Amino acid sequence: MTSLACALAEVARPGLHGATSEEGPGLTVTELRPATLLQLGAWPDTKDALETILKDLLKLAVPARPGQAAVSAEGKLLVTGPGRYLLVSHKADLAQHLSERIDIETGVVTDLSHARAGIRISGRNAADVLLKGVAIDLDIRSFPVGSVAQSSFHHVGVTFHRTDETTFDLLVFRGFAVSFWEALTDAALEFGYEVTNSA
Amino acid sequence: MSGYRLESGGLIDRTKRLNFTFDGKSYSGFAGDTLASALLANGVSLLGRSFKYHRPRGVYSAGPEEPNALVTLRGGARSEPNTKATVVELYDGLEAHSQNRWPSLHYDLLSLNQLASPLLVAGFYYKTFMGPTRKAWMLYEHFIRKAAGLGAAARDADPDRYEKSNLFCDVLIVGAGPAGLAAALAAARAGARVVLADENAAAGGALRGETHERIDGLPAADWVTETLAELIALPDVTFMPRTTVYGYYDHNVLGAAERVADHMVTPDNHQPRQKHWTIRCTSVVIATGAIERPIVFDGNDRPGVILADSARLFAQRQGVAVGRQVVVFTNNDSAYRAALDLKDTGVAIAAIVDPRESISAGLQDATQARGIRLLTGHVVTGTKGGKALKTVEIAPIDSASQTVGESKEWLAADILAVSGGWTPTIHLASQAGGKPVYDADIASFVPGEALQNWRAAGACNGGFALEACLTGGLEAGAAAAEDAGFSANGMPNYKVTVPAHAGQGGAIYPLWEVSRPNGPKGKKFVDLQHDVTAEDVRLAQREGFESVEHLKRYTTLGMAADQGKTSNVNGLALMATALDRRIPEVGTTRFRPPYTPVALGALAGRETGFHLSPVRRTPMHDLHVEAGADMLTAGQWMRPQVYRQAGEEVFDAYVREARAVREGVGMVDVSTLGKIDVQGPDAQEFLNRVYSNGFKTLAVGKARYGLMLREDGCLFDDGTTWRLGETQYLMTTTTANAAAVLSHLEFLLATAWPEMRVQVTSVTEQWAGVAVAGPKSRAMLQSAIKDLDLSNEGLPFMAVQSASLGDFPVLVARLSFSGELAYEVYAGANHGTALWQKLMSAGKAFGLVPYGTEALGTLRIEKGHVAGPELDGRTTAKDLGLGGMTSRKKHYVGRPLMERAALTEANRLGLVGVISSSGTPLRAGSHLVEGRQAEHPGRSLGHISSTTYSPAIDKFIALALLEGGLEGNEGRSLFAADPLRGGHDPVQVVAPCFFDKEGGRMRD
Repeated sequence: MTSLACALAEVARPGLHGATSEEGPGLTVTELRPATLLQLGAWPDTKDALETILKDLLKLAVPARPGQAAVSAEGKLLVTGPGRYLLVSHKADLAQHLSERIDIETGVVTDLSHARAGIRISGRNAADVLLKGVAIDLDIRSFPVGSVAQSSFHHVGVTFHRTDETTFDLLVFRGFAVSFWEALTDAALEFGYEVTNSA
Repeated sequence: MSGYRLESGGLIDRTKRLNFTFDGKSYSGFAGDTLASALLANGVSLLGRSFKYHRPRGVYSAGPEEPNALVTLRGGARSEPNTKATVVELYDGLEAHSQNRWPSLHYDLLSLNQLASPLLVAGFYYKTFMGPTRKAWMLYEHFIRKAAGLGAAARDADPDRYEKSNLFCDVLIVGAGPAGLAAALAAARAGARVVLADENAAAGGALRGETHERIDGLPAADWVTETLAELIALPDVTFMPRTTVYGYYDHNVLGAAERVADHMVTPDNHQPRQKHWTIRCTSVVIATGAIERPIVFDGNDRPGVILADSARLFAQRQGVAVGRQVVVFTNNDSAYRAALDLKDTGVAIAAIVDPRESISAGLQDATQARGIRLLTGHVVTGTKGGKALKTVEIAPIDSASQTVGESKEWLAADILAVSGGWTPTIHLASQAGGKPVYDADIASFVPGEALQNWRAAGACNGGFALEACLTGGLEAGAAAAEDAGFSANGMPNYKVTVPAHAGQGGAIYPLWEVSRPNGPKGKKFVDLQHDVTAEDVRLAQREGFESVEHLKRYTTLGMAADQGKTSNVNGLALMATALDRRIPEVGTTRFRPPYTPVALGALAGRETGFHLSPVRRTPMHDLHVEAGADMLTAGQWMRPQVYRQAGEEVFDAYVREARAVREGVGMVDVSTLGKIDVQGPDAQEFLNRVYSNGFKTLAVGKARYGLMLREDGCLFDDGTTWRLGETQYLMTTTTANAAAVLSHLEFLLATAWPEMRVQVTSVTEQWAGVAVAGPKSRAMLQSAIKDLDLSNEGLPFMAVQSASLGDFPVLVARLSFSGELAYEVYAGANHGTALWQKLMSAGKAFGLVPYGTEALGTLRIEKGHVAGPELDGRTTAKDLGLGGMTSRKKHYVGRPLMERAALTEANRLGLVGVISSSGTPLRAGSHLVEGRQAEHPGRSLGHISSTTYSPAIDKFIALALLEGGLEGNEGRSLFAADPLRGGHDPVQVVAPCFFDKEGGRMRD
């Protein structure tokens, strides 16, 4: 038995909830359990150097502007601010590799692998649910695939990434995760939702 | 009144009968009815009692402007007072009750108020209950509140769901009448994202139910259907029926309430009853139409007096004749349409009374052709009837001089249909615009300058004719789309046919009030909902309340649930007359949100009860709950207060837990402590500047207790900071101040020292933390941790090392808050439950006891360690005996102001300990005084901040802040006075450390 217990293990149990319709549930809700979540920060004059390391190691093109994400087989990189990044990955040894490559003169690596809970919402009503808390225009033209935003939902800070037209990956503070889950799934009741096994 | 259902006509479904009750009596109506139309069809004319005088009132309008027909809808916890019967969609099982009557609607004893009416004038409350008679209010308040008022709110919690959401679009169009539909079409065809909202269940606005109008050869109803179908088929158009856009706020943010399930007995499973929408858009088209205006005359409030077009709409939309014998009183052409259409449906029109000397030939012909008696140059001067209208008094008027002659005739009628012209619905435009502009052609106000990105179109802009509505809508919609970056071209050019008797908005003869030259002077109502009369307006003027804003507040004209939709313009016209000024000089009040009432539930959404605010849980939360802990909130965190065993009170439990720590070993969840990752080449220098004590000498693998000051020199926060590497530190803060400390640090880095290369990140959520404390803690922990020597040599006091606990890594720090030999063990939060469980099972052999915040407090108070109650934002390091931790060798935040005179005075409150001399528990917040008697306590010398029972010395003890501190006070006998809660107990002042003063226990 592993000693790992993710924040939503007790609440994110598979099942169908809420309103029913012929088209099936309006969305699926899935706990995400990435092995690694790192915050990376460059100094004002080392942004390029840090991005070069990230590009080599993660084999992806670092998006030019904050509010965007790039995805590769190694993981995904969310640009949350100028010279600030969140790296989400299923590779457990990534923190080690990055810490070895990035010295303190280049930037700071902060391990947040335990500090966030991940939730994926996907389906025709996923954006409708998110809009109940997030005051950001989620129209695909305003918030295209790959967009990243930090906002709040039910007074809980949330960072989210649109991975396809109807899918959003959310990151919330671990301590609020259960409360957030309750509010999110409550907001999904009118559309009907299905909780699927954690990914 | 004897309203009845017409043989045919209307938008109702006569095959779908709906049953409902009003005041317990059963009735039936049809799908498509409103509650008002269904009651009228059943011959019910009395719907309510008025606010102040309890006068009988009926249905006055067919829309949201209704001042009279207010009912309480539904029952029990779902009951909803002050609902306008004219906008309530009838559903099967509807239950409604009349309001403001006792014992019943028909025999309302409170109508005796009318006899006292000379007293109940404007300013009644101010005049009666201010000055020497002020105390009378206490005596009479209950009766006055009972006598005057509207419906009563339910006392039980509303069982239904209300939700909130956000909505974004390029163009928002408010109102789906002809102007709104045309605007939507223009904007949508240009490619804009359009939201079209309408307060009604169906689109069409004034065209709903019209049978004469044709647009491009199509009957109006078909044009509405086709236009709406085209709009809905477009992917970027959202049509929102039953949605009232009630408020226009800055930055083109508008509030809207959607009545999702108000037209049903109970909402479907999981469906909200109402949903509040916050709409953000680039531009807005306001196409909200216009509301018909009454004329003020004696008895203009009797059941049976109704707005002319509303009388017509009941026939048009619900196939209901509002009465059998109708007198029409109008000062403009539009009411001829009402008279002629009603006549065509078979309702008898006794006469049309019109103050104008002549009317257009077309209308005259149409009236004559139908054999309707036309009384031009006449006005209605009064009405008679009790609970229903019986007769209408007619008198000639000289329209040039506005002189009313002697009455010569009373006409029998059960309905008096009145039109004083039309008032554009400019609420939203006024909220987000400049002063409304008076338009003499329509004798009303039109929107002023747009102060945000909106355009008004159609009747709301003063253009009442159908063609003007359509053209205005198209233009506004196209311009709105262009503002959002779309180009509109190829707009349709509508060909409109209207019936000859449609009448135009113009040709109005401004007539606000009709006064008899002689004869009785009865009540003439301006504001029917609040019972404000024409005489009240004049009284306000005589008493100096001349500004329209003062008029409103003094008389309450335009207040209450209808917000003066029918009374506003008449009220200020009467004020203008009284002041002998022109209406534009008097002006109008600024409209404020909401346009119509919004349920508080919709504003609250789901943030009620269980969902009121989020709860923060530590990784071990579920284990504490399973162990039966009493969970308490600490900010948003939930923390175990005590782990009560069978038969224990909180006191017993915390005393047992604290004793176990002193005698054996205990364990507490400290995951809630704020934790900040501080990294960077300049991290050490940064810490040295933010803490008052030195951090330059802190070695890797060691922790140090630090004090943080605010800029003003007072204490801000404290905690230990661990040096994990050359350039990496883990700072801990108090639970309460975690967020404030982080923003303090971020602020300093961003503004004071931007050149410093340091990054700070909250890692509070990254770590689960457990403190293991007590003489047996070392042995117990060593039994679980094999790869780290926990001896004094291996891990001395204040040392930090990494280790592993089974299959996961941990950080072990030799720190003590309890004063005992103690360790803090940190693990990744996802290992938190395993951390707790592994330590619990390792602790079995050592008698390990989990303890909560109560025992945590006891242990630190015994040791005199300060916490939140002492770090209260007013104390300095010196006050709390921590002066030695304020360095004199370096600069740091707070130092300059810490040394100012006020913070170094000798008689400042300083930290002391007190012991209850009588063995009674002490209360935090009690004041320390000299007086022996509770009645004569003397002045406060300080106060008690933290209290507990001390198992270590078997006494009730406390920490306190006392003038002059310990010096000169030690051993002094004082009293802990608690006059509010009762208590006056002798205490003795001692040093603020009650146990192991040398601190040997935690270092050995």
